[in-house]
Amino acid sequence: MSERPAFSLCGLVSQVKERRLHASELVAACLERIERLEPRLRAWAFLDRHGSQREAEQLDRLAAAGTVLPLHGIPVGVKDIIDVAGMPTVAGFEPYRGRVASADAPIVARLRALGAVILGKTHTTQFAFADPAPSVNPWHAGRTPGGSSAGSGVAVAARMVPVALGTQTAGSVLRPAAYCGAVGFKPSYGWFSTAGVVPLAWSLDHLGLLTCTVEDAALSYVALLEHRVDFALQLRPPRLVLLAEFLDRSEAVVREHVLGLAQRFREAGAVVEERRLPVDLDLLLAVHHVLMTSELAAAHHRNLRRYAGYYGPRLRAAVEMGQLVPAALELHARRIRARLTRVIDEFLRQADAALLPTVPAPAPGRETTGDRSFQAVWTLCRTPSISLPSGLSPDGLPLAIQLVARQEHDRALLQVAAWCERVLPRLPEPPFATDR
Amino acid sequence: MASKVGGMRDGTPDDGPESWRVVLGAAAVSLFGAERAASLEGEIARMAEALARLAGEEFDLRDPAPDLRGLSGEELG
Repeated sequence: MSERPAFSLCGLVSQVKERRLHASELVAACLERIERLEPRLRAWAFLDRHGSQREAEQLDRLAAAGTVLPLHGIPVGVKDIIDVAGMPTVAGFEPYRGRVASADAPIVARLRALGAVILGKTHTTQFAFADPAPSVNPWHAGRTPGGSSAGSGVAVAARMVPVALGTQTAGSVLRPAAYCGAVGFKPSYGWFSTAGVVPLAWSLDHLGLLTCTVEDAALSYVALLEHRVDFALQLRPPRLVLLAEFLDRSEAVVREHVLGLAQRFREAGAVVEERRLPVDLDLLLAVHHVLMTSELAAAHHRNLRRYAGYYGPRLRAAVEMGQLVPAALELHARRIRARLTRVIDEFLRQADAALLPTVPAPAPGRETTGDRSFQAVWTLCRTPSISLPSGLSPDGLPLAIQLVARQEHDRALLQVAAWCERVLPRLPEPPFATDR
Repeated sequence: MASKVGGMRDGTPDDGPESWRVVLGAAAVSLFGAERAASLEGEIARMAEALARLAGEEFDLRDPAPDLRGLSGEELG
């Protein structure tokens, strides 16, 4: 069973609440760590050093007067497609440099109301699509940190902040979490308003959380929705279905790793049964591809006409491609999506969660953001999904498992994930995030 | 009048990826020009596969409609 790491959101919340740690000390410590690591990791698109220090000092005064908020003084990173008042939202798109948001996105406003301190904006792939961001994987500088929430994944994995916001339209929260060795949680579609977030594909865009532990993800989720942090996870051995087709499509190192973990879960008391999805995985991925491409083309085609030279090659090709999809087929895809979602929901009823690898292989090279197929299925079906670091490959890269539950069963999924996390080994600190 | 262009017969595409590739390729040339369309070849092939896969799924006319409501635009921002 693994212990809570030294830099955990839950631990920091307790320390601040008990007045053993001041908001200004915590923010200063995070800023100092960012100063040291940022030149090699490039997690941040914008850092508000003075503003965050000022805010932390105000929070210290509030605490001295007797008021401690649920996330009092907790430093947070925000993916740079989400508006933070007074900070630029560049979205990795040069023509937007200097565009300063006049208001907070609702999720940022909620974080501030909870006492969190927004340190700045984390790097994203351009408009949260697939052209790589400048961030560096803290485990191996030659491998991708994933995308699109690359900076958020790096910032959390390198312990620059205990929590960061991301978004997922295919696999953009869970994949960087998996490649960087963090926890990535994408709750059910619509769990929080996406107002103030630059859209990629409206019917697929989800907000998500990147943290060091499942407990930290649960704390952030409950705080955001209920304005409290006094909650307890009920831990009991879960019933899991291990999804065979994802193992078939994984590299041997991942397949063997997940099969080994399934056995460890069994030995710890879980029921794990191997099953196949009742629908064709390639059909699910085809529907996701058609819908995402059509919607992002609808969002971007005019902007592309105006700023063609600034678009990344992958996003440009996708926007152009999406304009070619016949409307009848796009509606047909929506109809199939509804049918598949019902079938998947019925399938997921048989267990507490489905278990599968988050990604089919450890992080590939920096020319790509990695394979989205294992995460995109659940984005399409709008179910909650979570990625947990689960070990290291023989060449020292993070491996990760993914757990998925029925739509609107976000909390139940967090309980299952918290139980699984206790069985998993805790990863060491990433080599590129150590003080050398 | 019957015609046959690529995979198309009587103006109606059959459902295979090759037919979709021809349809999408022609549309790409019209919209973006031949040079740009050629650079989209990989994307077109991938989309053709996806559309062919979708076209194989059947519905009765009276099966449930696609959800066209979704969340409000205001909510989505």
